[in-house]
Amino acid sequence: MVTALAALLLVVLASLALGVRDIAPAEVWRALTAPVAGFMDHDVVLDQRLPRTIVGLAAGVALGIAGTLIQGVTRNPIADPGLLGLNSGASLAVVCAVWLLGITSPIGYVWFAFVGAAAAAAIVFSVGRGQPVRLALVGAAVTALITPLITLVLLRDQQAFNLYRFWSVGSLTGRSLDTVAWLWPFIVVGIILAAVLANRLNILALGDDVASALGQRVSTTRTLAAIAIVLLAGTATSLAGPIALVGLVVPHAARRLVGTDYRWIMAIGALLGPVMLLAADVLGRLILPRSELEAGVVAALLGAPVLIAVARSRNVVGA
Amino acid sequence: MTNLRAEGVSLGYDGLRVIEGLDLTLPDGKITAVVGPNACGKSTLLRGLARLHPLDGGRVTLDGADITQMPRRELARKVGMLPQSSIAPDGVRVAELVSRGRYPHQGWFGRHSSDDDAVVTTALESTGVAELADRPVAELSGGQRQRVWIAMVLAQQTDIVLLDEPTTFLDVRHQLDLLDLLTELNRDRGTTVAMVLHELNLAARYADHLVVMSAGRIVAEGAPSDVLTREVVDEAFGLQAQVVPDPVAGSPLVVPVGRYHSGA
Repeated sequence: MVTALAALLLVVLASLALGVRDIAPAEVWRALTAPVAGFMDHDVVLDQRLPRTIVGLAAGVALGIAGTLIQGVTRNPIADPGLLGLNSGASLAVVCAVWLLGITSPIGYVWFAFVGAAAAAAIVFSVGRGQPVRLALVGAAVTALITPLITLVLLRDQQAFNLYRFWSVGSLTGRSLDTVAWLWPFIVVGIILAAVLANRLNILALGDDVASALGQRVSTTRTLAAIAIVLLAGTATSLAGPIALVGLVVPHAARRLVGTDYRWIMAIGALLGPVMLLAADVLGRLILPRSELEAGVVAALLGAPVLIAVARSRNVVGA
Repeated sequence: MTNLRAEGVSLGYDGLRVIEGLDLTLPDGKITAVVGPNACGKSTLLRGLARLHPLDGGRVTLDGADITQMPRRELARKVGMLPQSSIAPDGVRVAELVSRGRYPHQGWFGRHSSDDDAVVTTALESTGVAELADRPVAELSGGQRQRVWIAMVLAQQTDIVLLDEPTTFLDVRHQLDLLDLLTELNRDRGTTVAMVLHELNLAARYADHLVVMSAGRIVAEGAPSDVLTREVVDEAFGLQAQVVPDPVAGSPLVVPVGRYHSGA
């Protein structure tokens, strides 16, 4: 817990201090405490690094918790929030917003992304009736159905195509704090639900029958979890685009650290989510000289080896 | 003392009736064994008694009150059930798994009280797995693992414990071991035990009350020595058998005939 907190503090500081433009740590501090208007270094810190750090924190926390919830509630260690069709739903809504309404700013399409994610998840969850295998099948089907629709729009609309190219990799840049200011209540409600659900997931992990025999209403647990996942992962996708692998890798890493109690996995996952996302974002700024890689790309590059390492290790700790 | 009974219950799957209008009362403080051929509905009946399977008709009552009318948690404090489909999460340790049996007694966040710890310790001790408390469940043998699950149900502290084929996958020594353990629970704590068993002779030996089912109905029930006759075995299982006294326990011992060994 302390290590995870320290790691989070470290990446937050790194996210504020490091970037393509070299700014001395002391200057970063001055930018935060006593900013001078019009001074380029201060503007970069306040207008670019601070917002992307906050977006990364919010989206990271949301993805870490949502990933833990989906793996717990489906007892499927390879489930991630994308399983519910959230990402494809959000993508379709965004390209349609650009194509039909000409909306091109993140502030404009953030709501479309959220509604699209929620709609897709609602369909997947209600048709899948909350049952793990059914959910995975319906999720795959809905994604398979939506993907060609996205392609169809992209082929017809150049503007949508240009915008989608960047949105779909997942990035923390170009988001204003306004979007976070609008969406944070969803994350807070999601976190509260997750906190209540953590102990229920411990019981659900023993099987639906055992959970019922121990007095849990399994359908209630599944429904509440689905709501929390949509709030959290939907918000994260709206803020940062469909970020791959964070929701999948973080719960595994958390289980390695704290074992099988979802109360701890959830807490550690909430810290490791932003650690991974911000670390990916910071690395993306440093890998290429004078330019950047999107956080979504780096997160996937970081996450894949971690996942392979988890799979290769002798005792895989499942959901 | 609590009394669990089925009153005219009908149970089925997707419109297919398995059990129609069945009545059964679990004798208080006794061990009941339910036996019958595959697909006769014995597991479904047990699941219906534990509210794990919705009733198509009739009702199940606990001390006269319909169990569907009470909160699940309240039912879980009175009736414990070990289903066949239990899953031990990877990496979970024995004491941790057993302590999850305290769930119906705890608040939202599952905070443990010292009372909980005492109950868990007792459950571990009375099932003989106390020394395994810190071991991962996955590393245990089948017999040990089944004891751990029983310990979890004990931690639930219910007056009635239902078990769905608790001896399946166990070798004969561990089957006896487990049935002895359940006998001790019944004698020491007065717990009402009802279980579905496959092994007729062990059921006859360990049960106070034997329920023989076939095709969704009860063929016979009562004391094993009254119930387990050639005629009943033939009717329920379609099996020619001799029934002789068990030389160890005196309970009826079913010796099947088969096609190639018609005997003297």
